[in-house]
Amino acid sequence: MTFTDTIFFSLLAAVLSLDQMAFCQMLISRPILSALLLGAVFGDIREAALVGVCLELLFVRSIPLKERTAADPTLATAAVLGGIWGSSSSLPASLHPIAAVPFAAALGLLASFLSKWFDLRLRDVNTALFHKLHRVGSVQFTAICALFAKSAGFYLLAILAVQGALPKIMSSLGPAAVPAAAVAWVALFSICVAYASTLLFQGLAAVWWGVGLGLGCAGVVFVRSSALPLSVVSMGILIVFVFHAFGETIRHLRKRPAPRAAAVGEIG
Amino acid sequence: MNPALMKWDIFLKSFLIQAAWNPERMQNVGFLFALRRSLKIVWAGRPDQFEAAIARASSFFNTHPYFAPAVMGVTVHLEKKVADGSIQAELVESVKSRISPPLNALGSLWFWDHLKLLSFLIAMPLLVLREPIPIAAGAALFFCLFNYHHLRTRWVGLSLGMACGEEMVGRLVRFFPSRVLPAIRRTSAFLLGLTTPLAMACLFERLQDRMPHIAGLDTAGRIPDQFYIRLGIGLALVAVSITVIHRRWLSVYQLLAVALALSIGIAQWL
Repeated sequence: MTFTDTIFFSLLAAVLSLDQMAFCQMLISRPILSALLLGAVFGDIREAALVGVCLELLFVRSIPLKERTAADPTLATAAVLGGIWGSSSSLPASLHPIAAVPFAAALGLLASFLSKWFDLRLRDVNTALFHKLHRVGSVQFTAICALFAKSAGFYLLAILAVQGALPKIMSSLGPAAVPAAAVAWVALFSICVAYASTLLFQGLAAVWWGVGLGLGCAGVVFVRSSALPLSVVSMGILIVFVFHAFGETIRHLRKRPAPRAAAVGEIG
Repeated sequence: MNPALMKWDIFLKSFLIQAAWNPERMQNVGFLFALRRSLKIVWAGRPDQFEAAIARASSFFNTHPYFAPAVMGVTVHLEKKVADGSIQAELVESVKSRISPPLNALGSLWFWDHLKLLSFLIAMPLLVLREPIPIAAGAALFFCLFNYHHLRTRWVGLSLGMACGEEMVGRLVRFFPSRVLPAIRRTSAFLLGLTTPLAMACLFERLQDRMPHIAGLDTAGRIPDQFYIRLGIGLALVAVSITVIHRRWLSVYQLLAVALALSIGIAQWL
């Protein structure tokens, strides 16, 4: 991506981010959909899908509610994708841009936390607009324009910062860059999945999570190879998980009121 | 203006409900923006009353954006009654402030906590595949599944609100039976568990395509199939991370930072 492409990239990301508050809430600002749209226009939809799935699982709880602002999911996505595609020419030659994703994600998350502060300031601006302007339509229009201008500017700065920092990080790692990226990818994906799973860990849902995990393992082993020991091991994982989960449920169902404390006169 | 046009006017403008969200009166600007033209028609020929209605509409208002059209419909219904003289004007504000908090809670619970995750998890097996067409199909599936419920809620809420006023809450809630929620949670958990190994397998294969150097992690053919080792390591990491996050030893962002630092360290050691 050239510098001009980066500008258009951040403009498109800013348009998508309007969906968070200003317009529709049709979830096109969520990481998965915005990553795929940005990928379809500016790069590779397959790399975008990998990044989008991870970030969607990570941002599963981030929704602006009432006076709380949330970390900006579109900004994190745009910073990661813009960062890896924009700096792909200056990365070390042996490194595919997808290897830089975990490091770009760390920077993108940082930027998306910073954007909370701007959102809070803009909301105060909206209060002032409501008191100053007389036509309600112009309040809406000005507020949307302010939000878009903030997003476009901040996204461009964040993407440029990630593009500048990534080659330095990757080249400072030297020959360790590729294994570091591989291990970091596995860790990133595992942590994202685990975070989404913890949201569902209540009562019977945990049982179903275990059942699904066991079935998934068995399916992967079955498709991959028909090796008997491995199938047995995966079925073992299934059984252990199910029993663990059902044991918890059974304990939960059997929970009885605590035994009555002995009255004073009964002792002795 | 005929009622159908009025309904479409409110429906389309209600998409901008949160555009000028402010800490003082929250969604009041969007609410007023969507209702202004309808109020002008309801109070045609009575400018003083129209001003009073505008003042009522621009007071504090906050609800879930998907349920805002329902409250708008109720407001129009009541304003018509006020214009007839059958009810007091104060009732409009009290009804508005009475029905918006429960609808807010209902919307957060259903849409943000349950339907968003469920529709994403239904689409996720398609999204981790390697060809562009299944990926696009998965994205379309996620978008359509969620937005079918979203748009239906907006339209049905607005229709019910304009037709039957405050009684619409009971009829709207019937679209959201609470006994379905545990089933949604269980289905989401099952789908997430099922997709975890599949997604991890796809991820490893694609990382190997992209970064053939990962084969450098092989310990010189001593381990027959690297794939299962990696899958096991990944699942173990999932289990460890679940424990760490669930017991609140670290937040997810702290855990990510630790994992990044550790992975750099491990790579240097390898």
